[in-house]
Amino acid sequence: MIAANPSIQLVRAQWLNLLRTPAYTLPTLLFPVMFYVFFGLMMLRGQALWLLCTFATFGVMGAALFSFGVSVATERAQGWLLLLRASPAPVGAVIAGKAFGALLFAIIIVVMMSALAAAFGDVRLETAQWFGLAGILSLGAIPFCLMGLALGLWLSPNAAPAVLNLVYLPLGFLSGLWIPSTVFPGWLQSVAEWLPPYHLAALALDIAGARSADWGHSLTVLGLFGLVFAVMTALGWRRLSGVS
Amino acid sequence: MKSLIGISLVLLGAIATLLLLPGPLEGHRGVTAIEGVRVFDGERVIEDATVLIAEGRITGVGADLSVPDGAETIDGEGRTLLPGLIDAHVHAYGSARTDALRMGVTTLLDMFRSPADQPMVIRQRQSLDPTNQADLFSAGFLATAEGGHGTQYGLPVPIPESPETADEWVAQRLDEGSDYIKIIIEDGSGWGRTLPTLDAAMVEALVEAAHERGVLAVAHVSTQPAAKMAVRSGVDGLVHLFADAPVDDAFIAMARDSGVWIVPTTPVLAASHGQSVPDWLTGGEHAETRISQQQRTMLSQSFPGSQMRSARWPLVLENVRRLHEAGVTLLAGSDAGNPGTAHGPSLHHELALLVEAGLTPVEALRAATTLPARAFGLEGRGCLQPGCRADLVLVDGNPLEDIRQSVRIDAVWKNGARTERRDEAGDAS
Repeated sequence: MIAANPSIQLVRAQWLNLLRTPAYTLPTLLFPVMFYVFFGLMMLRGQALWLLCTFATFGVMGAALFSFGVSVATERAQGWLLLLRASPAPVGAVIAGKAFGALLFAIIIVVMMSALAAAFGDVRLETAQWFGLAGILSLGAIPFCLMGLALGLWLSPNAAPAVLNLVYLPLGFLSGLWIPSTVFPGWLQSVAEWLPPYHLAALALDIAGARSADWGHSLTVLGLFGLVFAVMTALGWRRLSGVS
Repeated sequence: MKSLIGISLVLLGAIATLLLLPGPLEGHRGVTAIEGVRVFDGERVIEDATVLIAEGRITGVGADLSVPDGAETIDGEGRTLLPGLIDAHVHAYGSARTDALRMGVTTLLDMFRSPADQPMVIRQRQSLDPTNQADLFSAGFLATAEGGHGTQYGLPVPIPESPETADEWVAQRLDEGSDYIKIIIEDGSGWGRTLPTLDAAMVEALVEAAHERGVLAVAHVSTQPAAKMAVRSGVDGLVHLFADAPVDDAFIAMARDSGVWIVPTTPVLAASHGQSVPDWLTGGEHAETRISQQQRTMLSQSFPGSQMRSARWPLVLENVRRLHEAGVTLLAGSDAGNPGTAHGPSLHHELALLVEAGLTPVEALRAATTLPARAFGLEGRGCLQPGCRADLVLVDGNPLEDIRQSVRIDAVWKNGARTERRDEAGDAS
């Protein structure tokens, strides 16, 4: 029976959670979109396609990091996670519920930005490219979900928002998501090439036809990055014992 | 259950939005016939001709062509049809490519920009699909000395270290997609400054490397000695005319013997020699519908210290005249992207200044069509003959008599599709 499936129950719970906390949901969705409108469409005209790819990466990464990181840290402090671990719900279902929220955010952010880029930035793409962009950026949120999850399991609820911002904003900037990394000085460019958001943006730029990417290399970097945080998540889950 | 419906609705909404998002531009893909029009085909003038375009290319030009049934016909009486113009010196960033296209400039030869999106740029110019952007060829990064001209714009520039590594430097540019190699020879002396610059050995090595790899090498110069050094080093073209001294006989002899071509870039020289942009360029109907406020602002700017050099301005036109009379090939270029210039209008400014210096209107138009296409090996561009790209400008008037009428643009076709004016594109800026 469907209702008994814990994954679906936790997805439902997450959906209700998002609906009932518009003060969290709306800003998280609108912040990256507003950012793109200001910088991608109003200030730097003529770069709408490139900046759509990079700012959408930025938005998706933010949704993934924050919907996992902050809430996991808080729920851990409240003892909710400990309770879940004691319950028959498998750990996968707990993660699925949260991953659902982050992916939903990712899709909504990419679609909103795409619509704005088409309406005000003269961006024109084949239908397959529009879907490809939404697809790669939603799936590309997964490694950042794992990163948020791991950080949420290891950080205290007070530290989580601050540390996440400290990771999120520089990571976005250094990966060339605000200003293309191609205008960075050489040494900074080589830093960008080591950062996972740079590689997610590279895949998006490839799909949009802005710059071709080395798919094997970029997927490897994103995969390894996801793996590191998956391990950290597993370790964090094991040491879970209320507030530490 | 309610939640599942809500989730499904959000996802369906996202899918529906993605399906509704616009695809690449589509224009009229049938046959278009422009009838009874005066044609400049890149070389000469044909009166009262019919021009047929289909599938993005020109399919017929002649006096008594039969127009196929179902063709869209356009009355060309009293109008002149030109090949899409080529600007042989720009710096394309921001909205450059749409701005240029609105004024009939359908191909841009960039002389320094970041090559990041070069693969896309190349794909786009190979396509015959309708577009709202001019096609672009580019030098990518330029070759300059550490701290030299070209490093002041905030874009990091890879520096060629020594003649021994010149080939490697050129190879890197070609990997990035550069179409030709641009070399800076600028010691600042023409502008009352001192700048580090590449020496002759370095320039020669770069030119040789470019030629061995089958691409052109062009040079930025601003003084006659630098121009001579560049020509001696074997460059294919100078992308500026110098204004520090009258062209001397030695230079003319060198230029003639070597076959080097020169892009005078008079609009940027005007802006750096105290000259303001003429009213006929920034006023009138074409300005309302085809030049944006941002472009007007660019056109009203000038370089620091520009007024102090205004006494030197007549020398610019005099040098153009002397080189032209000596038979040196001149290619029209604006250096748009700089203060006092704008993509599109400034190429028309260059045409008018070339005529003021002594070229005939036909010669000036060749300098913006056939000649750059030949110099840069651009196939199907700068020409209005069967087989050429249907990049066309319909002018209300006769620029072959009065070159300033070239701005009175009725319509611009890119890849056979009519492009939009600012008001049609809904651009209120």
